[in-house]
Amino acid sequence: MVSANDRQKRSFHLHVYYTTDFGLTKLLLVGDALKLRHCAAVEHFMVTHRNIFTALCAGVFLLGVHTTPAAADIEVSGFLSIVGGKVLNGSLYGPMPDNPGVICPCYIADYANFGTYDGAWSFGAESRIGMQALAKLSDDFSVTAQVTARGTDARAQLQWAYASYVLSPTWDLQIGRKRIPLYFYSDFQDVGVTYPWVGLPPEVYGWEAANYNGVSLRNRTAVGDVYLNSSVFGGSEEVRDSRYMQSYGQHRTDVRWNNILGVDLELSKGSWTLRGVAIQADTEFNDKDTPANDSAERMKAYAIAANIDFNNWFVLSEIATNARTTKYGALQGLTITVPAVSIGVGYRRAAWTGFLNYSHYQELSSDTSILPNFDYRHASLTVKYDLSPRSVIKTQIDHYWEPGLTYSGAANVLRISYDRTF
Amino acid sequence: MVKPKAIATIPSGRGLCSFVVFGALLSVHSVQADIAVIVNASNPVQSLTAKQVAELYLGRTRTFESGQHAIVIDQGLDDPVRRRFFKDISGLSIGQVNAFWSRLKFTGQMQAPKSVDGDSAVLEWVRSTPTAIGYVSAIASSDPKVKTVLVLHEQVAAN
Repeated sequence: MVSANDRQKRSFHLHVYYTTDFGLTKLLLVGDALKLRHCAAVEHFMVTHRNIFTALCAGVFLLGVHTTPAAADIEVSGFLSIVGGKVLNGSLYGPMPDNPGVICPCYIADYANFGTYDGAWSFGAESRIGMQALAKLSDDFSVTAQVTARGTDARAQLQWAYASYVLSPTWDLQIGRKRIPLYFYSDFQDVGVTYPWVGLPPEVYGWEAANYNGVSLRNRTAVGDVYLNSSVFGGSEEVRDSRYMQSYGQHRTDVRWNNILGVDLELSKGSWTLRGVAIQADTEFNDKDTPANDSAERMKAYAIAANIDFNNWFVLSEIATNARTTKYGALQGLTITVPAVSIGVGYRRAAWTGFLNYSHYQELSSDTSILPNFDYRHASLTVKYDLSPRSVIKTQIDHYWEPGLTYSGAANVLRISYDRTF
Repeated sequence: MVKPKAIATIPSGRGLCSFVVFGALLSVHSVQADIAVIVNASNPVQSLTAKQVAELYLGRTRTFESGQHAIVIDQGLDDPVRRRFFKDISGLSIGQVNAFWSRLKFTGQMQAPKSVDGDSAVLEWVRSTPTAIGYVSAIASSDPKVKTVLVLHEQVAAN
C-alpha cells in the first residue's frame, strides 16, 4: 500500500523516447525487461529479422520513474503481433495498376497502413508492437500514453496520450489523443489477442485516419441484466504522408479529418453484444506532388455490430456504411457510398478455435458515368491456438476476389501470426 | 472473533442446491479446492453473488453496492486458482479473460485488476485495504481482518 504521504512526495518523470534509430540492442533490453526473451522463438525471430524489429522498435518508449515506492502506481503493458504471409496465387501478375511499386499477385491486408503481401514470404505488412504506460496520479485521475511501431513504417506513431478523469463511478472524461472508436474493433485493432482473425477484414476496417485529438465522454452503467457502454467523442486528426493514400498511388498526401463528431452505444446481455455507432467528419486531402488531386469531403458513417457468444459457438458480425460527398476536387458533387459487411462463425474447444468469415465491400457512385461502382469480396478460414493465458498463434487462408473492375486482382493468401500481451 | 454472518454460495455441482451457511462454520464445510471471495472486515458488504463478483472482475462496475470504489485484487496470471475462479464466475477461459481485459485496458476504458502472487499476498492486500476485494483458496481465508462474501465450491464434475 502507498500512503497519502508517499503520494505527496512522489514525482514522476515520464521519458518518451521517440527516435527512428532505436537499435536491436535496446530492443532486446526492452524485450528482456518484458520477459519476452523467455520465449526463445521470439528472440530468435527478433535476431533473424533485425530490420523489421529495428523499425518496429523505433518508437518504443521507455518509462523512467525516479521516485520512492511509486512503481505501484505506474502500469506498463503492451501487445505484440508478428504476422507473416504470402500470396499463394492470384489473377493479376506484374505491377499493381494503381501502385506500380506493388508487384502482383498481391493482397492488401491493411489499408490504413498500406500493408501488402506479394508472392514471397514477408513479415512487414502487419507486424507491430505497442506499449502503454498508465500513471495513476490519484484515484480519479490518470495519464496514459501508448506508442505503436509497425513493420510498414519506421516512424513510430503516438496512438494515445490522454488524461482520464473518473467523474463518477459511471462517467469518465478523457482529453488528449486516442484512437477513433469507428467500428467494433477499431480502437483495439492492433491488439491481435482480442479477435480470432489474423488481421481484421479490410472490407470493414481500413480507413485513412485511425486516431484523433479531442475529447470523449463515456458512460458505463447497468440496467437490469443489460450492460450499457456509451460515449460521445469529438476532435480532429492530421496524418502526414498518409500510408492509406499510397494505396491510390499518392505518395505524399496529407489527410485531415476535421470536426470529427461521433456517438456510440454498446449493449451486452448474456451471450449477446450489440454496438451501434454514428460518426461524421470533414475530410481534406492535400497531395504535395500533384495539387490537382486535392479534395475535400463530407463524411458520414454508421455501423451496427452484433456478436453472439455461446460456450463453444460464436458469431461476429458487423454492417457499416460510409458515405462521402466531395465538396471540392475532381469528383466535386459526387457521393460515394461504401457499404461493407462482415460475418463470421467460430467454434472453440479447449485451446483451439476455428473461424470462418465472409466480408464484402462495395463502392456505390452517385454518378457511374464519372466514377464506376466497384466491389470486392473476401472469405477466410482461421485456426487459432491459445499457447498461454496471454499468447496465441493463428494461421489463416484468405480468398479475395473482385467480381467487377480490377484493382489488385483475385488472390489466395496464407498467413501465420503470433500475438501476445505483456 | 468475527460475528457469524450469512454467506451466499453458488451451486456446488450437479444436484446440489445453493444454500446459506454461517461464516463460523465455513472452515467445517470447506475443502481445500473451494475458493473464497474476501473483502476487508470493515466493508459493509455481507455477501455477493457470483454475478456481482464477475461484474467487478470483468470491469463492468468499479464500485460495491454501497458506492465505495472497489480495489480489485487478482491472482497471478497462470495461477490454477485464477483459472477456476474465472471459469466459475463467468464461464470464460483464462485466454478469453485476457482478450476481454486487453480490450478494456488498451482502449483506456478500465484499469485491469491489480495482480499479486499467491494467497498470502492477496490476504495481505485485503487485510490492509478497506475497499479491496480478492479471492483465495478457502482454507487460507480464515483471518479476523477479512470476511468471506462468497464461496465457490469445487465442481463435482469438472468439464
